Amino acid sequence: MQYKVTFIVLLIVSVIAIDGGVLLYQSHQNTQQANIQSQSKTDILLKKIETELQKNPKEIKIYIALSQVYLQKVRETSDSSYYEKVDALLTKAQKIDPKYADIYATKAMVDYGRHNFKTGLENAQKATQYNPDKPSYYGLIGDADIELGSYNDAVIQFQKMVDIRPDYNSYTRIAYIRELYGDINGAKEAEMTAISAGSSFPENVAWSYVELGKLDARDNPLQATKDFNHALATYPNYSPALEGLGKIAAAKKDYKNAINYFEKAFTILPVAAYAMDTGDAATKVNDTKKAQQQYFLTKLAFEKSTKSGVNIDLENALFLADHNMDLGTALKQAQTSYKIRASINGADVLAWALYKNNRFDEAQKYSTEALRLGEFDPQILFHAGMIDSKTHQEAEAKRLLTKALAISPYFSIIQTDVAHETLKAL
Amino acid sequence: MLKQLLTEQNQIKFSHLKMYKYVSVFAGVGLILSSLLGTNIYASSHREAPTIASDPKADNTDVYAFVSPDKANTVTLIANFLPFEEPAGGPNFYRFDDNVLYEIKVDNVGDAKEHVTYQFRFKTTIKNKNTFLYNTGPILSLDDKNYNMAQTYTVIKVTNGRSEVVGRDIPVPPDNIGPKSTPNYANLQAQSIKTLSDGTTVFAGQSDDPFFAELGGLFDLLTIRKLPGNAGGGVDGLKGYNVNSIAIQVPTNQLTKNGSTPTDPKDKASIIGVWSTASRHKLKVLKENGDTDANGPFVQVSRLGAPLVNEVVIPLKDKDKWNGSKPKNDAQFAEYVANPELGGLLKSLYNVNVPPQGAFGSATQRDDLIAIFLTGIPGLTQPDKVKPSEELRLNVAVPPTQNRNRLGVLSGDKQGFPNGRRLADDVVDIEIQAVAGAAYPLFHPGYTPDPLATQLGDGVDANDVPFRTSFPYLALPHDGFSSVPHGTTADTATTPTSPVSSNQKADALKQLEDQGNAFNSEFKKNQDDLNNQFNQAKNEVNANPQNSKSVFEKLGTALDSFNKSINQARETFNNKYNELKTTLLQN
Repeated sequence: MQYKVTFIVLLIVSVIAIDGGVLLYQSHQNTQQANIQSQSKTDILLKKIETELQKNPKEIKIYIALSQVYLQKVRETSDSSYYEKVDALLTKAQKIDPKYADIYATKAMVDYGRHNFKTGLENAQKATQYNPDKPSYYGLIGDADIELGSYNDAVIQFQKMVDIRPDYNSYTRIAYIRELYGDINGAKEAEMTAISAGSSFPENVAWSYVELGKLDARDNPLQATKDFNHALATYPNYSPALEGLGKIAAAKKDYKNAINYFEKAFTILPVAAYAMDTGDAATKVNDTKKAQQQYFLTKLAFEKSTKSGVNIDLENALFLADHNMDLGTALKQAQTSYKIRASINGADVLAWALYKNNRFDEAQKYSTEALRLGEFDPQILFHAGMIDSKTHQEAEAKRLLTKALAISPYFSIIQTDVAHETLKAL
Repeated sequence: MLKQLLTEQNQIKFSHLKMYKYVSVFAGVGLILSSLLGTNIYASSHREAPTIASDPKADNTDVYAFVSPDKANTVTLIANFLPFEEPAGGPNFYRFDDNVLYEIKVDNVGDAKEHVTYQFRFKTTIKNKNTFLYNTGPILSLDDKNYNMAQTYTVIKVTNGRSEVVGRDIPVPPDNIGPKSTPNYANLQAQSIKTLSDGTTVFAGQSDDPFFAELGGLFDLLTIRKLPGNAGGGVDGLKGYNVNSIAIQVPTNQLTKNGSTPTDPKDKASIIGVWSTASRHKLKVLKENGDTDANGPFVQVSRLGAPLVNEVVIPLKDKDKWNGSKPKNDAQFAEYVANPELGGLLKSLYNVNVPPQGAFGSATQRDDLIAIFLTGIPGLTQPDKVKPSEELRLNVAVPPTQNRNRLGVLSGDKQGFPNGRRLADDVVDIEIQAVAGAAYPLFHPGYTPDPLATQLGDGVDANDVPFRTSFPYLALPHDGFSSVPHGTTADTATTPTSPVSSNQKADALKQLEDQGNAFNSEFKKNQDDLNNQFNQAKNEVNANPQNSKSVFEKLGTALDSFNKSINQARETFNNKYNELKTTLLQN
């Protein structure tokens, strides 16, 4: 009888849970098994702090705490409407104490979420001005540095951060900058140290497993699969981990499975990238109709992001250029984006958009810039090789394309074949 | 079967079921659209590293130091880490961090430096590398092969700079998962308690969090639920949570400065100061050849002596600075003790007539609080020529008493806080009362504190479970199987359980099913509608790409209204469920 009751209740829940709203209900089920969904930890915290704020509308700490939990919610739900709530909270906090450092650090986080890295950098710097002892502020400055292309300064900021307080926050940043500088093993080592350190939010640890998985996925899909599964065990249904597994499936040319993973990831977190992944995998199995549907969805997702105040020029430019859609817009967006984000990625996407618009000489200038930290990123190498193949530097093109594929035979669902074909033709 | 596995299987079953329903009912594009509700779309290619992750594995929650009640010639020191462990913490459960240096430090001179230090380094061994399950079957002993993620530790004793390994490969018991995975937990824990070569007894592992406090109120601007706070009525915010503890019981003569076991509290060797720290490796951001991260120098990231200093005394903005600081540099924080924010708060919130307070070094500095937090109390816990620093000071010559009082020294029980700290000492009440001026007359004879000062408190006077009478004294950890997760279902936990007949239950189930069907048809209706609009929009965009923006906007409105209807229907369903759940969930 007990089993039957549970089963029927589950059936109903399964229908309700589709739009993701009945976590509460699930947790009642799990109570019986004395199991708690880690996701709801953040919700419990949120509720607690919201109540506290009502009782103490003049306590600046609560405004900051609530803002930061909202930001964690964005990480977990991708719901960027929380940013507006944070804006409102911080405006009120500023009236209580305009020199409270955490206000500016939190503003910086929102700016980054909206991809406004220059404003974010200014806010992060203001935060360190008001309180130079807080390690996370240096991390925020370094984050902006990376997006704006000031890599040397990012190294300095992260070193300051870890010198004051080595912990999860600093270890995971060190992993990324090591990756950018081509030290992949060092990046893995730092990410594993971050995982061992852990965080109060299980999602954070899952995120680090995914980052580790992406590093392993370059050349070791088996290990990467373990990493992604570990992320899922840490944080059930974690969409970036599902995307990772999808890419591994695609690397094995198991596109049907890849589509399953990507679609599941998208239903959990409607991020443009997952729709694009689905479209790419559908393209590989010649399901043009599905691919078009998914690319349409990708556009819709980008469109919605723009509407909610997130600048997605760079991401959209790459998407359009990669899929030979609306190449004029792609170039325009790559150019505006490069103006505000002169990172190696900014330069790389601009180079690729120029290439797609047959402006090969200019493309080469930016692709050289994109390689300024070294020849480590397979996507940048692929773009550089393609550009060289059009500027009569065939030997160099061959070398770069070969290198891209050697670093990662699976770097892209749709472009690895292009790389192979181009190599053959050279 | 093993609970852990069971839970996982259920999760898998559940998600399959979910996907199945999903696909069959909402095939097509509308299915995907249904998750595009509201504005929750967001694209990110840049790497957004978490910034507000806190560091529970290196977070010192409480330090205890007391003369062992059943072994008066030994001192027990306990340091707790990893706050708020939900007992059902799978699948990873709670472990010490192998990369953290945990230390308990003792200053037996009063010069704000450690003279005896116990260092703990942990090592995790995964027995079956093909799974990341915490256990692969019931754990019956500490060397059971089913204890898949076993941890062991090394103890190093540092005496005045000289290091000596006093214990190696000491086992940490598993977390208390539940009766299937960890039957006879008490026995497992007992197996993990070891006496080392130097006579010290050690334990490291999970236990009930011995701290008890009205956390909600304490951090909610010191709200006292039932004024003045000495008549219960508080809610123990730590109830049912576990921590990871490191406990050692040391022969007293190994801790005192001259190797004696003092019996006279006036003996100059009888006062020790205790604090614990956690340190992490500093990394070089860009490695050079041959660098290994695990060899990076340690940086202290957490420190704790007297209770609540971090929460009550040190302001938020200085927390990282405080956690990285050493007692010998504590002069920089003296201001916060001499002129505490909490004093002003008690005055403004409860109109307590607190003693005058002023800047450090001024005539009105709170010398009573400086004694409690920085120098020790003269004649009890203040060492000769003490250098002011924040340590938990203990006079090891004050013998254990049978007449323990939770208010310790304030009540005349000189064996309790702030003379060291026993597990049952009500440090929240003691500190609130002290700030309100309860101990002020000791330093200013003739001063009469506000009568409220000796009545204030948080209304939580004891731990949720009893402590034990022998080492490590801490209560066993709450097990994951029978614990109720915090926050989510407090109502279920407190629901009175009147018997429910099977008819009532069947009826409730029927009602819930009907409501579920109503929801389904509502969803279907709205979803068909949305599908139509979506297809229409697609055609429009294909025909006139330049109009796509306005089409998107229209579609956005449709999505919003879809979202609204569904939310409404869902709420109705949830209400129904809440109404019926007491009946449904009963056995």
